[in-house]
Amino acid sequence: MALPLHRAQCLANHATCSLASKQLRSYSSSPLPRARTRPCPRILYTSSSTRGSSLISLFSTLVGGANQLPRTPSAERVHAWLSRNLPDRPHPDIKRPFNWMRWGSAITIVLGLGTLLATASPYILPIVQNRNVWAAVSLISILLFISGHMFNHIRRVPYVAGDGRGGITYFSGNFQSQLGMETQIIAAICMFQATTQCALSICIDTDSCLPTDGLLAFCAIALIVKVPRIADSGTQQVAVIAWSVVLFSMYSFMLSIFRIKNNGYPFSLPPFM
Amino acid sequence: MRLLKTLLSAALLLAGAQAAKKSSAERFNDFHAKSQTLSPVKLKEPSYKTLTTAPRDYTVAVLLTALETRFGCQLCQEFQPEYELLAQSWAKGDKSGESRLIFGTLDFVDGRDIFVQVRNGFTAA
Repeated sequence: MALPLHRAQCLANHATCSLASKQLRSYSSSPLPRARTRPCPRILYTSSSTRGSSLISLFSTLVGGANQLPRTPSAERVHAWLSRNLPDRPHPDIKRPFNWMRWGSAITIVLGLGTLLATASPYILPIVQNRNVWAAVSLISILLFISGHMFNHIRRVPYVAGDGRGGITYFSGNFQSQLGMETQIIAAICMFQATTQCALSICIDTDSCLPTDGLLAFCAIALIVKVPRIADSGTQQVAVIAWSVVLFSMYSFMLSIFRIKNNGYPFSLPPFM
Repeated sequence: MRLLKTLLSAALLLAGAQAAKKSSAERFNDFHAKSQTLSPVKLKEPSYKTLTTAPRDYTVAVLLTALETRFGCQLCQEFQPEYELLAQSWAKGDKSGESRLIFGTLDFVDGRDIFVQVRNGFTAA
């Protein structure tokens, strides 16, 4: 019976095997009993033949090789390989023993989690379904990612830097770098602006601001919550104008920070020119 | 278990000495019977030679391995249970010996010369 594997393939396999065994040898601390022979797992595969022990194929269980076996071939891979090379005979399937431990622990964990969820749901559900919690989480994450928090994580930037004259630099003057504190200031400004805008929009048009209810709750600044509820229209108007001024100056401040980062930017707003 | 293994290898040795004169079919039957109790068959140098003697009308898959820790062959140890699973499944699924395939293991300590032989055989030929 002739097997469809070429001698070249055998040699290629062997080459990888002996290469790997060289590495293996250099890693192993104890010397091998004989220098010439290096043990290396491989399947030696002799077929029915009339000539003297003809080795038809051999493959390394180590890296690669012509058969493209993984580093440690599974029983299934070897089974497939044998079946491919021994076409005209039955190939009994591999039966893995039932893994009691794994199934048992999986079922126990699933049941335990189910019980935990069922019993704890009266306490957990109100928290999970709370609008304000979701608003807080989403607002915090929005602010974090707007302000460049991930840049700090990835580049491991310093929190603050000296300006060389004993003072502190809060903002680094280019786009290629930033400081940890910088992002926090930006986040604070953004939050402040969001809060102010929210307050104003509620003053001006209550209906259009209903979705920002949760955001408002997160802001929880007593003054802002109170602005739309000011009964006296004159006082309310003063409050609206005051907050508009605050919003405008915050925006101006932000623009001035941007001008620190980008020196060539031509536009600015009062009061932070 | 240890005693069983010793007995088995002794039996294999004796069988190997006799099997040299046996025909291909007889040898296959011997090793097939062995593989029904313990598969893969743990080979030593004589039994390996017996099993691979030509002419033969069966196929042999031998795993050349080095399980002892002093060889530091981690892959051998990782692959061993997989190979045993394959050989045992095959032996269970083929009780009548229809596939004419025998799984064997030859450890480096049991057949150093065969390792050399195989190595030279493949580099020379």
